[in-house]
Amino acid sequence: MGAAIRTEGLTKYYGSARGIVEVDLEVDVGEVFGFLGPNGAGKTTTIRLLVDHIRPTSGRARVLGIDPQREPVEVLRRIGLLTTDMELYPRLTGRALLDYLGKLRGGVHPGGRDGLVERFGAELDRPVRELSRGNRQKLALVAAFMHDPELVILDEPTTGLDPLVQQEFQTLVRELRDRGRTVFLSSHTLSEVERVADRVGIIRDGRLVATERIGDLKAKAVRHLEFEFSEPVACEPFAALAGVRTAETDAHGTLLRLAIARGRSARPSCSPRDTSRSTSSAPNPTSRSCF
Amino acid sequence: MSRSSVFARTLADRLRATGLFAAGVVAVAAVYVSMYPPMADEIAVYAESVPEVLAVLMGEIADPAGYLHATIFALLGVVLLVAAAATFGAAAIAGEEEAATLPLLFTVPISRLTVAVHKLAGLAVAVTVLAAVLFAAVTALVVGLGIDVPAANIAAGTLHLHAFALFALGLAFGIGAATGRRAPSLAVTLGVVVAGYVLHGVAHLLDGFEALRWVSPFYWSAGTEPVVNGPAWGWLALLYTAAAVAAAAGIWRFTRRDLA
Repeated sequence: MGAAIRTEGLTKYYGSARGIVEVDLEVDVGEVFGFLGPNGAGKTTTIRLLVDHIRPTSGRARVLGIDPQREPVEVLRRIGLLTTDMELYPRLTGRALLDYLGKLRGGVHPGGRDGLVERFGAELDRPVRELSRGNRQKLALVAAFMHDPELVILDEPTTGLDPLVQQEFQTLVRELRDRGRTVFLSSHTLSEVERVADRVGIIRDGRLVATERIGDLKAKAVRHLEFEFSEPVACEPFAALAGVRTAETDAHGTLLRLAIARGRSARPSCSPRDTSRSTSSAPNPTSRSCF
Repeated sequence: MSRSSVFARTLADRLRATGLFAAGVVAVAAVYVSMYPPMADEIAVYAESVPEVLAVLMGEIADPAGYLHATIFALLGVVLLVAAAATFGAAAIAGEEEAATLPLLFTVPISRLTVAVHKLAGLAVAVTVLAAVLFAAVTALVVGLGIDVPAANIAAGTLHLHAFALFALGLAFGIGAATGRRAPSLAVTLGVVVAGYVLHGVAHLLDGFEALRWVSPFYWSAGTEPVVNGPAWGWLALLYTAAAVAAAAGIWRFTRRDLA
């Protein structure tokens, strides 16, 4: 059967507006694939093409070897799906909603569903309209996983979830991979997928610009660190340290910014008292990775 | 299993609205039918004094069947059933699409055709229930009050009204399925119904414009005064066919277009 997901030259224009352009994607069976990109880059468009919610302008897609345009029902039967553009029926309770979706699947094993409800702490007795965004997301996740699909496609799955539930989600994704399942999840932050993904594809302005193993990406990733000193410091000694790509200090010399990456830096730079950059570039003060 | 679920949910979602419309239908029947016996003589006198142009439009209202036609089967019954059918039809696909619950429905293995057909079937049942309630209420009152209109004639009037309501349902459903937008679906459907009513009047009142009635769906429904004269099978067939064609065209487009 080969790849769990394969697209060739997949292109979607909405009228003249760009959706995605010539996306060649290959996700192997049994891997966790992170689909990364800023909002509006084309993540949701790609996912909607994979499940036949929209039709491609050109190119082709195969999901578990099936053409979604020709056999959308077969694709949906074998995958679990969560998209960002869907709303749950507001008047149904969580239980009625999951019952309904389960029935439409021809019945799902209640044990699996109840286990997921418990793991995520999903609220079943209140109508969906009374639930917070995070609690709705829990129900959507249960619906995506409850039939134990061989491939799960998740668009921004951790939106609105508190950190504990996010952790539970990541644990679940790892368990699925260990059981040979395939998980395709999109996100706009690397930190969200780096803990679980084996590989990531990066989409920007509708084009897939890179596909990397997560380890390689981490090695390339540049981290920004800020140090505040009580007295002015010179930036040159820091620029000479292994792994430092750039070092800069602010006008007072008390604030030091370092950009660090693994491996030796080819050409470390040092820019003291660069006031214009320190006000305009404002790197993220946490150690979040950028790319 | 999956098929009956969408059908059942469609009905369940419209249960409240159907109940309210049914209450309206019963109220209209109760008020207008029970008004007839005490006022029959006055209505006859009034009918004599009505200007000829209006009399043509209203039909023989001094006759009990003509009275039912003018008040219920060509007026308030139409308003209620068409309003129900048009709002149901517009909400079916377009309403779910605007509420963004349609992408949720298509996370499960179900085809667009199945969803559309079973939603349409559920709504057709709801509209049919309303027509049946109208027939039952009018017939019960007519029999109870000893008004001289055979049940077969009431059935004929109801059948035409049912066909007209299904025509509105098919049109609203079809436009909603094709466009994914509720407002144009409702606007076009109600526009066609109102335009049909106006054309029917113009065709009646102006010499040389009789042919206009052939293109008026309102004429197809009420023009032959079926509650007086019995069913006009050709017009009934035309209404049901138009309903099916409009719905089918919308579904055809729905299965091929992008979801909103």
